[in-house]
Amino acid sequence: MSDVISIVSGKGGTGKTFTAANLSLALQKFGNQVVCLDTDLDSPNLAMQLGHIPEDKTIEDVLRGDINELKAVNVHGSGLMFIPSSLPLTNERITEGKIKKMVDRFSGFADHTVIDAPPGFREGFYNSMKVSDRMIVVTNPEFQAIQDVRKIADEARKHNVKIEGVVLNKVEGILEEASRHEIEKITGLDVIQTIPHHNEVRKSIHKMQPLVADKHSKIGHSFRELAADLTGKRFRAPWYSKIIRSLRKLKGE
Amino acid sequence: MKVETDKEFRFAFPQEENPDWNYGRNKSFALKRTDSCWSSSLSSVERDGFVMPNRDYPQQGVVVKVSGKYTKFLDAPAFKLIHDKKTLKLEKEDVELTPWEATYTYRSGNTVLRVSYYLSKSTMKNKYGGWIKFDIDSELDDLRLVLCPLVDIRKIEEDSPPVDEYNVEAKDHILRVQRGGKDIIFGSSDETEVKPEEERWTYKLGLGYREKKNDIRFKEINRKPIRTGILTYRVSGKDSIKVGFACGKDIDKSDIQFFKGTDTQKDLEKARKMLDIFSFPNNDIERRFMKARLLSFFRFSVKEGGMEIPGAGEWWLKDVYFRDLFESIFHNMEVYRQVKGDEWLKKILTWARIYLEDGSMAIKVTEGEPSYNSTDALLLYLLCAAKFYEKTGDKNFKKSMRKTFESVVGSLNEYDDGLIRCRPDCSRIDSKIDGRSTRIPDNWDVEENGGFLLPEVNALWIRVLEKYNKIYGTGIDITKIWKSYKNTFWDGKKGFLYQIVYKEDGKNLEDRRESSVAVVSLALLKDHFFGYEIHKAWKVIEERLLVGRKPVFFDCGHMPFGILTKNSRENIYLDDDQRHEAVVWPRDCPYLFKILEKIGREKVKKQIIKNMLDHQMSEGAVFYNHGLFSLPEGENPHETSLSSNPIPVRNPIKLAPHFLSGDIEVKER
Repeated sequence: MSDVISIVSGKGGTGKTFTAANLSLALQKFGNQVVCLDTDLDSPNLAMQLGHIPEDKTIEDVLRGDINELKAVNVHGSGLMFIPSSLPLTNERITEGKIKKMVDRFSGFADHTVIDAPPGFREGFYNSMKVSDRMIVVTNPEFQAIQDVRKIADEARKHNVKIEGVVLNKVEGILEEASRHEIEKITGLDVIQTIPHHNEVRKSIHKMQPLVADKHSKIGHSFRELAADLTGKRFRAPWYSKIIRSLRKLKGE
Repeated sequence: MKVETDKEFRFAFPQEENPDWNYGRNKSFALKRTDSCWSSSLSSVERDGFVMPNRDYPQQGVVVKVSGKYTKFLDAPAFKLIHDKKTLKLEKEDVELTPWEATYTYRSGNTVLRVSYYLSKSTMKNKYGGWIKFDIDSELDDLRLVLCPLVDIRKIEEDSPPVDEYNVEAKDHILRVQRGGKDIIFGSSDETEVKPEEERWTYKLGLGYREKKNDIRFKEINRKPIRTGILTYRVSGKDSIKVGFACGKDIDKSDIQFFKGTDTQKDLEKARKMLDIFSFPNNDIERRFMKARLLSFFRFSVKEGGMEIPGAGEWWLKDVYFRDLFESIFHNMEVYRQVKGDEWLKKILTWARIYLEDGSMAIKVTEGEPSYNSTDALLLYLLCAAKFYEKTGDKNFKKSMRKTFESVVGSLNEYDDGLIRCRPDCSRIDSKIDGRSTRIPDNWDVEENGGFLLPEVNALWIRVLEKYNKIYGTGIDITKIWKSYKNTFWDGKKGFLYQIVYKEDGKNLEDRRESSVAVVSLALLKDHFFGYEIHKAWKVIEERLLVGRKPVFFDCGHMPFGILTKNSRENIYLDDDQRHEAVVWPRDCPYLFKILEKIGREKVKKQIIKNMLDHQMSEGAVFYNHGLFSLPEGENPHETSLSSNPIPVRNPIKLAPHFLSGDIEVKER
């Protein structure tokens, strides 16, 4: 059986796909077989974040019934498998039946299936939630965004789906931001990882290379820690990573 | 026959057909690219004043993958030269080939016309293209070059549509031919005229199937490509006209410019870089043939899983077939590693895991639901994975493969003797007649249940368990399984392995016919058998299975070429009913090499390789290997001095027999 984890958010632009790509890769790095599905059909970025331009054989082809689920599977250099979504917009819809069929298909060989769910509270979100064993909510430290997290938490409770916690992304450490304590208090959920608003993130998205692929990235380490927590393993960053990061800084990288 | 090898990768052949065994040895070119191929025979034909390269198979021409389906677009470009309102009579001269370009030469008095064909690498979804270049060298002025493309837009397995299903239009000096949302366009000429007209063409080698009437002939297939229109170009003196074309879906005029702009320089540079990695045989001709073989080896390519993966071949069976893929990786891993890199191999081996189910592997990648019926491919896959780990030491890969090993071993290990039972058609001999596997002897009164024991499947099984033990330290008792294996399959009296064994319902049956599956098994378990046993088995192979062939390019007599699939009385290949009888599949050769190496018969191995290279260049698709040969038995409609050679019949281009092991080594750096 595959452990199905949905990465959700109340609105777009929170860093949900960034989290899905990095977390999937981090889980894969622990020796698990991971399949990551891009079900955010309106804003498909997963493949690009994994360094791949989706040309053909996308999730839309599967939804249309043109190809079977296996044909759409792409493989990242790490061994991580993913199903991209098509760049041009299509009219396809992800029904509960279709996403369930996909997830069931992968359960034979995947230890974890990570779903990059569409943002908001439309059909795609609910269908992702219904097939998931657990969810991770990605949000930014803004009070409006946190209200959405509360809504997600309520919906998850209604549908009896476990939420592992919140990944707080784009944290700048300024006074206007909601604090970790405030978020946990408002949503009733644990903040399980905090990702700073850092140039490194922008660069990695631009280079189409997840930060987990960089052995010494601090943010990459955060995702590995998260993956370790989710799978009951331990992660220890290499002792010299800090030195390497300092050297990179000196070199202006 | 002589082959001109004066230029680096260019070989010249006369433009002629070979009537031996009903043209079964006709040569053709194949310009293979990812998901696409352009091919024609190495001879031209004339019709109504137009000259064009001939096609012997209905799948020849330009065939590309559009929306997941292989679709034919261009059948052939027909052309003529006109001077003073008269069509010049073009006499055929030679054809020059590289793995990426074909050039046909024609002459009319002092006028020489060279026509080159090139299929470009496509990076666009559902769009392909290339060019046709006409180089004219003439003392005549005011010549007209007239091009009339013969088009047949259809899925390759389908019949040609009627002419009224086409929409042909000439606009802005571009000729556009459309059918069912797909189009092919040609450009740009001085005058373009629309003239759709149905043709009827007989493809004399059909699908490679034959029939016996008075003599043995290939079953011809008729199709109806259409003449589309006329593109006229004014030329004079020394002139060159490059006509670009693009085909697929949503084709735009600008696509022609893209494909027309590509040239052979990149192919040449890539080839030189690739060849630099390896060292080749000393003999000049053999070296050049082997280099060509290496270059064409990397042209088996289909897009799957976001990668380019070797497909099984041409003109049909183009998709990824797992048995072919793993045979190729198993025998050529070092070559793949050097050229494509470890990451590519690792990605393929990881991706293939999704095609495993309940102790079986899918036969091929398909748009629809896969059919899971390959036990040997599954085990071969694990051997490839183990070999990859042993060569790279990639710990992450080892870790990620563990579950796969565990689940396969767990699902197959059911019997006390440690051997696997399976259906008789779930391995390399997978043909059936009226629902009954051709592996089962006719006189066996048995149900097709799970009581069959196949020697090669169990040989693979033992090898997989050995690797499983070695890599993961599982402690499985291989000695016990090996003893069961030998007790079950080894015919000590003859010194060979049974073809198949049945143990069920109190029956204990063995088929003693000599077979290639026994050779495969012996090769896989060569380190388990005693040396004298392998020697004894070689005697049997030599007497009962080894098939000879007289090379065309090398000055020597008959030499070993391959082995029979079965020492069967059915020794004439007609169609699928005989495809696993007394026929030759060169895919078995790399296994035979292992046996020959073990007993110190390297000379025989070298002879087979030489003969295979000779076949590659003298019959069928040049630079490639046929997948299946018939013995030269039955009535030959046209005898020649080489009629006693095995006849290439089915599958003109196949990946599995396109092995490189033996005569090619990675250079020491």
